[in-house]
Amino acid sequence: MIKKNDNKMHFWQRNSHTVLIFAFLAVLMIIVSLFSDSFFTERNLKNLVLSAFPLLMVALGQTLVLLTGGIDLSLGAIVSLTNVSCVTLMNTESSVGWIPALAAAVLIGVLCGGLNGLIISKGRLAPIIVTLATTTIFEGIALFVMSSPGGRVHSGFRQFFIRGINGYFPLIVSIVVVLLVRMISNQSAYGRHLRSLGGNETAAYSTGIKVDRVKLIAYILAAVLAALAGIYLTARMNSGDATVGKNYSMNAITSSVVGGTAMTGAIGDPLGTVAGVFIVTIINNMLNLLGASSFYQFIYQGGILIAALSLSALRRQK
Amino acid sequence: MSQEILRMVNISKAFSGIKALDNVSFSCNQGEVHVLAGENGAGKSTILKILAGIYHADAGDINIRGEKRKITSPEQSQHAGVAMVFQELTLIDELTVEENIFLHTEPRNRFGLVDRKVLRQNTLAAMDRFGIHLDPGILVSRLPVALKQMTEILKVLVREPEIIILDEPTSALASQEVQRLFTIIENLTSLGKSIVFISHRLEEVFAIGHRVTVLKDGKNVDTQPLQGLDEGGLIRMMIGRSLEGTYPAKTLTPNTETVFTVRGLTSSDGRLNNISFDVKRGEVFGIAGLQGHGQSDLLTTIAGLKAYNTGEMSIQGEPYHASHADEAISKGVALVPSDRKSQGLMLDLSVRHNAAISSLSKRLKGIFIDLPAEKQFVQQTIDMLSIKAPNMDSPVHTLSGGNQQKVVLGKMLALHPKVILFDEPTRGIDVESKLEFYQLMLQLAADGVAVIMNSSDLMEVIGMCDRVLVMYEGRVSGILTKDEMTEETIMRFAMGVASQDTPAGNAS
Repeated sequence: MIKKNDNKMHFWQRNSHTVLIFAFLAVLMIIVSLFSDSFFTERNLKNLVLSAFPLLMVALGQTLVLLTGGIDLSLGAIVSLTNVSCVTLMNTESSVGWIPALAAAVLIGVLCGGLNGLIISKGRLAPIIVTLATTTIFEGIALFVMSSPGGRVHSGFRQFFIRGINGYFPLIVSIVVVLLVRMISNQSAYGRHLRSLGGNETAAYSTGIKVDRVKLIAYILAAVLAALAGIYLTARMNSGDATVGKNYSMNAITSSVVGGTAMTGAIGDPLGTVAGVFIVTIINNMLNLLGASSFYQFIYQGGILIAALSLSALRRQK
Repeated sequence: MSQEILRMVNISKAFSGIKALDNVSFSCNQGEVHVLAGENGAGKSTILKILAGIYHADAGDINIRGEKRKITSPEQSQHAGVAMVFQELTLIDELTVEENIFLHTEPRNRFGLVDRKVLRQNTLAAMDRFGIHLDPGILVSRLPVALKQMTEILKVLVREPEIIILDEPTSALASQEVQRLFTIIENLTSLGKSIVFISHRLEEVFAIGHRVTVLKDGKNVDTQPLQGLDEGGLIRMMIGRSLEGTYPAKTLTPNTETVFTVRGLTSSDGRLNNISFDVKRGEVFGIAGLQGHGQSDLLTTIAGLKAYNTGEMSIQGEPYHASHADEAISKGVALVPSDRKSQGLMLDLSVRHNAAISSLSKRLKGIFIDLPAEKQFVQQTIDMLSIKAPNMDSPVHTLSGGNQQKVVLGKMLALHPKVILFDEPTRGIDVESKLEFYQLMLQLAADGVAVIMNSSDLMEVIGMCDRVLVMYEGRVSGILTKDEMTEETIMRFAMGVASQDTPAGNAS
């Protein structure tokens, strides 16, 4: 029989990985601050949030998809496509010229995610192959929309996105999105369904869960979050670039896995993903500061993903 | 007396501080079938996994032929002459029977390729020696479960082990196939092999075993020759007290009110052919037959998991039709599936998640789940079904088979179903949980739920059901009342010897 007053143990059982990964993040931040005395300044922390923002959005989306037992390799391409679409459709003359561009970017996100989700659920095809294929489709369309980087961005929109609310706008959006995604994944019926799919799709189906619909929505949510990243990059770069999203798919997988999301589905917490995103971003920034060439960054990114996967495999064996 | 071949002495093993085995000892002689008995969680599988090198004992000795052996890996165990036939099959579906049997030890010709001729010869020789006859060239994917298991056993035997561990080898078999397995086991003992055997079916234990070692809560209870012991005595040893009987007494007689009707159910793939029956209020309605004659298909079709072509169903007079599982569930039809691991549970997720998942919409606060209400609901389920779990956030794979099955049942009961379908509900669960399950079934029937149970355990069918529908080749071969039910009659209908037109008494 279950004793009623072991809440402490419950908490640990549910959140042990998240707690550990935040502890690791704290240690990492302390180590970095030893190398650079400007690390714990308001300005630098704000910059950290600014540079982590797009990865955070994509990684939260990836976490939702991973929980279903799926994977979305096309999120980076969706970032690129929404970025160039947003820039192209922007009317820099009108004061409200950014509204249709934003709406279009979100709509494009919904369509891309919907396409992924429909093919995967109705076609009963492997997510990894489907999204590998749609990656090239989305990248192709992005290059068609804008063959070389450029374009002009609405200045009011840019100012507000980066500097709005004393420069706290990106942080506020981050917090709101993180809380929303976490509530969806941990506290809503939809979130339970999401995890059930990753846990055992056959059992989920025979329990009465509408498996296809849950999957479709997961890929749409992920793509909309990728669209937010694309919109944000529009403001930050002040231009469009059809290849800007290239590295996000894999870094998002790395961040999720580092944050404790299982590649096999069902298990994970968006809060852990937040820590994963900052760990990946801080190490990247550190390598930049040390003047490491981008080759090393790629090598490190692959290495850290393998390390995180090995750790989670070890954890499962226990 | 024959020579002692295996002796495990004072074996102890703890998992994260909880003792699974505490100074357990047993021995096995050459040519003996030694049964390990005990409830789920008694430590039977654990000690055998130690012998097979899958787990590593914390303390204790393993002696084989009087020689102390160190077994810390499956390879060392194999080397010591021990072989384990796993519950979960390890065959590769896309290879043939003979390719599976000699996987990794294929005979090669001088080009290093598989020598098919020698492979076939070796396979046929092994089949003759062990008395297992199968088509060596057939793809394993095309074999029914029972024959897959035979292949698995043969694959183990060609390594010529001296000690063979069979952990619930009969749980997926129908009675006829069990007989076949027993013939093979007898053949093996006559070849001087020793068998260590676990089964939850007591009649099998008595049919095949020589001696029995009973474990309870990871400790030795006793070792006795099975001759001179009766079922009641063995059950008392296993549970430490006497059960009133294996099946609960019924207090309620079914009345004539019909709660569920099926008329002419037929599927295009030929699995179901013109099935008709009624379930009365208060009765437990059984489905029986030999493996693969459509019993499971009937239940999954009713539950909306498989499509049917023609036929009508109604629940308490209301027409019923479901083409998807969610439709069936919303109309009050719940299935407790035969394979809880692959069809019923999300094993990595918590007891709480699994128990609550079917009824989330009943505990919403706005769009979010009311977590305190959910906790309370899960606690109620745990108390009602006396589920033993470390706590409600423990992953469900840490529970024993009987408790896992209770979680599946709890999930389905939360829907307050009008029709509940049990597909092999007590497969691989311990005696005490079984009794609890039976009592629940009777309670549900008394509450007016249509209770339908498919079971390949005939004693269970006879013990529990008021009427039984026997299937043969996808058809209704007969519907027997309580008075007509004997193992023999059911078998006659199940094998197509008797049918509705030629009642059991008049046949042959």
